Amino acid sequence: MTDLFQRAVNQRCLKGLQWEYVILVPWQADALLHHLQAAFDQKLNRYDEHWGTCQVTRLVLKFQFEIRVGERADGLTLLHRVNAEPALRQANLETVDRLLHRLLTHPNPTKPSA
Amino acid sequence: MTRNIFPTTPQEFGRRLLADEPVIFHCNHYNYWLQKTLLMVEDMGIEDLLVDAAAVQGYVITQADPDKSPQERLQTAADTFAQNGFGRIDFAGVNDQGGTVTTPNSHYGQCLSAACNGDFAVAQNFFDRGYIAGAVAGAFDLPLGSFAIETHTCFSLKAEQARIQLVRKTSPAELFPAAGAGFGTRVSCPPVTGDTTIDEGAIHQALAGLDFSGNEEGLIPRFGVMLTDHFANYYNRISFEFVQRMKQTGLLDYAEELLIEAGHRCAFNTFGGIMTSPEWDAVVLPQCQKREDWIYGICSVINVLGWGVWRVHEVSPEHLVLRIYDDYESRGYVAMYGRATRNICYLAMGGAAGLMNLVFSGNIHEKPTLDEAFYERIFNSDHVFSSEQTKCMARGDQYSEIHVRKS
Repeated sequence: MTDLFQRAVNQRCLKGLQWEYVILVPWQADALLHHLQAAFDQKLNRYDEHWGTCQVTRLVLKFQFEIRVGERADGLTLLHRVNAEPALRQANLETVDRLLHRLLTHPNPTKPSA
Repeated sequence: MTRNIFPTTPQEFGRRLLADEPVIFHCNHYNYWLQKTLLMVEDMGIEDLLVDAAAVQGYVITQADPDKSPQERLQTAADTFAQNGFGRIDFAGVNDQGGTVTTPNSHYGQCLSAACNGDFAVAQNFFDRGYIAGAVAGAFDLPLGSFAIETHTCFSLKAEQARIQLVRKTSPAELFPAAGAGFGTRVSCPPVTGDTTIDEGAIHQALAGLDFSGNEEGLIPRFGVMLTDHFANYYNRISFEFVQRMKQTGLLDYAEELLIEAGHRCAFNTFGGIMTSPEWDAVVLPQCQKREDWIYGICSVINVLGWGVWRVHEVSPEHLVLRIYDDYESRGYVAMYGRATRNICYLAMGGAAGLMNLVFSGNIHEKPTLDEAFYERIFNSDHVFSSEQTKCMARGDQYSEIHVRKS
């Protein structure tokens, strides 16, 4: 998609429900989580899980999507909720795209924004 | 979110009980393939079987706490449905005479399409219909079988809303009774032995950190699939009753082959999904040093699914001997039909062969795409692994044993 990151749909998982972002430049999970919250107006519910030695953070916008950070070293996973309409799914993907582009281009933005 | 549910009670051998009924994890692919397999046979009342077998599961939930009001019990039934990954139910439109129930989300209505190439010919939400009819009967302390499904719509047929309309029957139908926890042998289970670096205890500890409850849609997206924490006796009843009915028409062997094939599909999609998931990479993969460790590792994961304990007795690239302690198929069979005269661990037979096909024929460690072409390549080859059951707990053996070899 860009030189900064790529995203691809997982064809197995419910025909388009799960998207995997691969980040191609150095990045920090904490900063990403912080800016994701800002991009979605602090409405994401946060759940932390320990998978063995991995810490996985799940950010959930109810009835819209879930983002998992930490399950893969190279990026994040976005899972749409089943009832989320196609237009809403696309809008949420684009919000994450814009956020990633900003964050990876300017790793220390002073004002988080979508 | 706070749900009004009964606690799931841990039992020996990794089993779990919900309102005295065993619950086990299976995914949308197995749910699709098992249902599709059973529906291949016409004129045997399979559609009614799928609904009726679910009714008793809804019934036990709303009968489990008789001190609660009907509304409270229906809320428990809805919350249980969501917690266990079946979706969401709105019971607001029913009373003791029936009414209309909606399911804003449905595992069977919405999540089976991932496994289906094409459109469905019939509505897939048999389980929802039965569970709802049974739950309403139980909530109002009516006999099981008090409600009929008058009309229904389902997401699987592209309906915008899923509605199920119940009507009170003048005389209740006689349905399957609850089978409960079933019967095992209470033999002790040995620890993991053999040449492996897998630490089952550590894997179980790591998996305990994952949330396997339904999300706000009442669905469980994990391991790259949609899980259900399903009623074991639902699978048992629909599978064994299918076999009984096929036997009456002289098609017993064919029925058993079909159920073993459903087990192959389970292995391919559920086990394959697990072994290619981020969860596997984080928890199990670091312990795997050789290909055989993948067999030990996936068995360790299986042992948290509630299926009983799978122990690798022998494994090499050519064969596998698997011993299963307290398998859910045997426990349910004995509770429903008494001691078996044939081997009945169909899911386990298919699953064990599937493991070997994935690990040693399919090179699952290379993370292949788990599509139909890959399935055909590894499960329909000239050198496919196949299973033979040599011991069966339902026949009186202390454990079930399966030998897997290349044909």
